[in-house]
Amino acid sequence: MDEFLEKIERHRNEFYRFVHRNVWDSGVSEDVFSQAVLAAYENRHKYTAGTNFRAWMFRILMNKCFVANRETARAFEPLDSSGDAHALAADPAPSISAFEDPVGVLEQCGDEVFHAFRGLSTAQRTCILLRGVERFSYKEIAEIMEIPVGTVMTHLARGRKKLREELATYAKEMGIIRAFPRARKREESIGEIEGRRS
Amino acid sequence: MKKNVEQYWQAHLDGELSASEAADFEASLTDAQREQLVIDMRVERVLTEHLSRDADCPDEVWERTKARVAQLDKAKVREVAGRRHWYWGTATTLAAAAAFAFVISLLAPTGGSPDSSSLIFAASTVEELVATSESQAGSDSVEHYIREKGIKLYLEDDSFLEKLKIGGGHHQLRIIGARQEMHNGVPVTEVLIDCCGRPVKILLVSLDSDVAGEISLATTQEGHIQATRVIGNYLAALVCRHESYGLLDLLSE
Repeated sequence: MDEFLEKIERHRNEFYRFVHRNVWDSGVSEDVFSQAVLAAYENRHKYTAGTNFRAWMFRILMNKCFVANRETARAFEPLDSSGDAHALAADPAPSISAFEDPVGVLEQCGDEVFHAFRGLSTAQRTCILLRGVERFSYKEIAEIMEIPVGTVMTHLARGRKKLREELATYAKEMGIIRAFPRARKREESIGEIEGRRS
Repeated sequence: MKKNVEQYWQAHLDGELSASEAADFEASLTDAQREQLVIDMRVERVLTEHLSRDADCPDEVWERTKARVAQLDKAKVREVAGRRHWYWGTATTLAAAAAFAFVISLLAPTGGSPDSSSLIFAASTVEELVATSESQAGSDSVEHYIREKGIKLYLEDDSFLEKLKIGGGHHQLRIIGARQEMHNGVPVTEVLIDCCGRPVKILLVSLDSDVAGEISLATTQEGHIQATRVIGNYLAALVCRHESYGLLDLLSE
């Protein structure tokens, strides 16, 4: 097999997983994955040996996901991140991490985790997947997505917050939990730290 | 200022703080806050595990992808060989070929044998597509037509078309016909669609044919191929300028 294709094959599970979790419609995962591999293969001369091959591939995969999700037009718009922390601190919406046993609650949520994850924007999902699952640093994610590090952090913060809220709401609706006993604790914590720092 | 704390909290979760920054940050936390941080870390870990589950690339997907890469290679080889042949031809041959082509162009009717551009570029208008159709409009007629042409695929009915219309945010979606043309000796069947008043066609070609490789090659280059999908033994390619990704769902084995 071609050396370049072997390189892709070594990482094929992570590449496919990224696409499968990132496209709105999981039915098109194979289409998007195949098209990304074809595009990478056709442009293999543009890859510089010795540089980060995974990052190079993820950029192609990400672009194909944006096209499939029809979000190309607004994918790289600058974000206003200035109000994020205040929004987080002031918003009393419950977060999954506010429960006594968040890990147990998450386990019981099952496939709802995927459903809630699909509710995020492609940029938020891309950041969460590249950071959490693929273990890229903020700087590497910023390079892959060609956006500033601050924007990566904003996508991560907003995406995680929304995901946790969705799951908390689901858990309450399904009776997995009865109330939001410690719902404001994290936000209060942040406020307290700030108070002491100033 | 709160923004910085939130960012520190997140950066700590993601292991982005240096050892000294992390130590400073942790020192600023109370026991309860430290407990909360540990919970947040556990939540992140469990969420990550969830997102990593059951999403490995199936072997058959990888095999099909490799087969498409191989076709792409074959198409490239043919393209290069064709070019080389052209370069090394003698001036006499070129002149003869040009003269021959000129005569043929005078004799041949317009809209004759299609070149690759007729495949990979979208028509300008819906009317242009309708004019070339060899089938009646509508799902039933077009399915009948493509099966008559030996394509063993099914076309979804009008109720599914309605769902696609709503799901894809299209204000109009009609199957307007079908046709089949030979491309380098290989039959290429086209399902013709009007999506929001824009011309769309779905190319159907046998997966093991050379044309499938050419279409794969075109996907990575110029043209209006928006998406491709392997359906049974066929490669389906969506050709349009309009965003219509979901239309490949119309066809099934």
